[in-house]
Amino acid sequence: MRTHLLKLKELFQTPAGRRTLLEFVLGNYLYPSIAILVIVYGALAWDKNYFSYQNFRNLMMSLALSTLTAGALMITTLVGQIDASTRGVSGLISVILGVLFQLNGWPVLPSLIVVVIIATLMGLATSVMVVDLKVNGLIATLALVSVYIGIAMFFHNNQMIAVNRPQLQDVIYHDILGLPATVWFAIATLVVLYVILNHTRLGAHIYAIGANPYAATVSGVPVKRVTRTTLVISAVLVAVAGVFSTARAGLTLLYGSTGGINWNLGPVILGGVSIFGGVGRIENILLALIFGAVQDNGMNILDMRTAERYLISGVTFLGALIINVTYLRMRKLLRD
Amino acid sequence: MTSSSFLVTEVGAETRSARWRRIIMGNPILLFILKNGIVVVLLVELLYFSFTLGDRFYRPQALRLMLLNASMIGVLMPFYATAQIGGNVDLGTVPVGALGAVVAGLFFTIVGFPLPVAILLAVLMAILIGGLYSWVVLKVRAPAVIASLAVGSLAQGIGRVITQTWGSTYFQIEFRTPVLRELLERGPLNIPLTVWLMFAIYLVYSVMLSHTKLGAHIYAVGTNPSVARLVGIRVSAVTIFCLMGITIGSVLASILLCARVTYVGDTGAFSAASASAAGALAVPITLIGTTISGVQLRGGRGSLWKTLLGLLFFSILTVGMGLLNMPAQWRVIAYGLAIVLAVVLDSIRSQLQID
Repeated sequence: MRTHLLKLKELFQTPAGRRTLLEFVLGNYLYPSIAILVIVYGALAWDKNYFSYQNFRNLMMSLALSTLTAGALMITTLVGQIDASTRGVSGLISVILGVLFQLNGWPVLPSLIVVVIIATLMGLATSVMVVDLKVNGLIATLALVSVYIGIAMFFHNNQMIAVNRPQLQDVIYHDILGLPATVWFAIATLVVLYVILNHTRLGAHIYAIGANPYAATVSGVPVKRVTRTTLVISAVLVAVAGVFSTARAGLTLLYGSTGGINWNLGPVILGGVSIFGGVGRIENILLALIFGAVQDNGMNILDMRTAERYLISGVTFLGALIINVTYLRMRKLLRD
Repeated sequence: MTSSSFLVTEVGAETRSARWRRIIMGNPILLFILKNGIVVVLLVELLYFSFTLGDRFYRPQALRLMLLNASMIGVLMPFYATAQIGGNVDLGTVPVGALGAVVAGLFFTIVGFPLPVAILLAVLMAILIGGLYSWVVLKVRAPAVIASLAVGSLAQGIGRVITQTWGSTYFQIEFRTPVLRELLERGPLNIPLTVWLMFAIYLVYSVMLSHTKLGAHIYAVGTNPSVARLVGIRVSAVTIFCLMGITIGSVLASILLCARVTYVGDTGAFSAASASAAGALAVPITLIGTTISGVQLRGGRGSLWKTLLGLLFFSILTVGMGLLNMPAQWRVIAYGLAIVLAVVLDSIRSQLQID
């Protein structure tokens, strides 16, 4: 007991101890933050059934959506190419889904297959720019957003399409063990991404490329193929998120059902992914996503004004960036 | 025998990029196109609109509109291009500029301060935001791209709170300034004063970049900040100069723009002026303008005057497509393809090390 106390004293009093402590705090601050958020929102929205099954379901639904986009952004960020095309990809996919499924009356499965094929093509288009023409990923994808949105505007005279045939909602809201299918899909995606990143050669290659692309090339990692694969996976995940949110809204959402880059990058860097590539774990991102979902859900249930939401998101994003970069620098300092 | 021929091919072999470099260097036309892509694209554009629009394109009114449109962003462009040459790609000009204009609108319309005081307060806001931005870049050491996204979303939040509290339901505050509008309409030689202002800022900044120590230092920091620090350049001071320039420049440009549309708000004001396809552009028009004009994304290289051509390219495209009554989707795609072309050209240039 006494030795433990001494160790604790040492932790607070020596500079090295303080640094270890700070690193621990910066690496684990999300757990208490989530708990505090739940307590605060729970207290404020007690009479609005905060702790009800319905609210839990809503929370899980939005968590599922953000998991898909964050997963997509994470895996491209890990190889060192930030994929900023989420808004364009999900917008175009949403419109194509509306045209095929709603206007032309296609069944669900063929529409989804076509949507996934188109998303794959979009991922390949990004990869041509990033891998073959060597354009920086962030810039290439931002440039492609305008092209995708322009193409999407051609369909149905640039009018919104009400996607209200019940079949799609039936599939997406189909309850399995008390939770909708979207949530299970997101969980499956998380598991698959976890296995890929931690237990396969592809995962090892992804981390290697992100850490140092030149070293990876020299050691025989197929840099081009791996980068291409991640960009395609990313586009497909975003497309699925686009389908889910279209079904949820019952409308085609041209200007991004999944938000712009500054909305999606927040949880990814909050979860400790280095924006320079090569560093980051999916379980930490899940934590950051839970934080974001709890916050959104709380703001929704309290019926907050859009202005405050923007302000809170801005402050969170900036705070997350500061904590993330400081944490990564400290870890580097300690290792060197 | 086999081994020696193997050796010969190995020694004589030329990497693919080296071969392309040789081909391009040996071909003056290709070299000119790659080096001056923007001039070529601008000429093609002018020819196209001359043929399709004829006299309508060369009316003084149309030309005046092109210049006026270009000047709305041209006021910011030298600041922006300088920062990019100094190695800072910024994605936050739109929300930061909008916040500044909202502050000006708040103090001018709602509080009732005189216009110069309101603008001064907006500039103070720009300095505050610029200070925060510089702190995030220099002390926290986040790259400017990400820092500007974060600072931009904070600025957007503050702007929204102000417009929702004091503005109308559309997140707007009225901004009727006859004096400022007069400046936008009139000027010597029947050219609006903002166009003259744009040329003045361009002149000052290009002299600064090419004839002063500070200019040389900006190029040095953009090329390699660690080396610049080692040779005794005050990297932090140079970076603060670049980032402060961007925030102050975007606020000034945004105020001029809002005076023209007579309201302030958090809509993508910059895109509204340059591209009628407002919301569709994810990249700030400034970044597209610099990149299409050959300012490198990694910093360290680029010429200021060429960015003026880049601006003209976009404003001619907007006015030309407007005169042709092109549908919105074609405009968005035209912008998108122009951006793709710009970044691909930039990448080819930097890979083959042609500059």
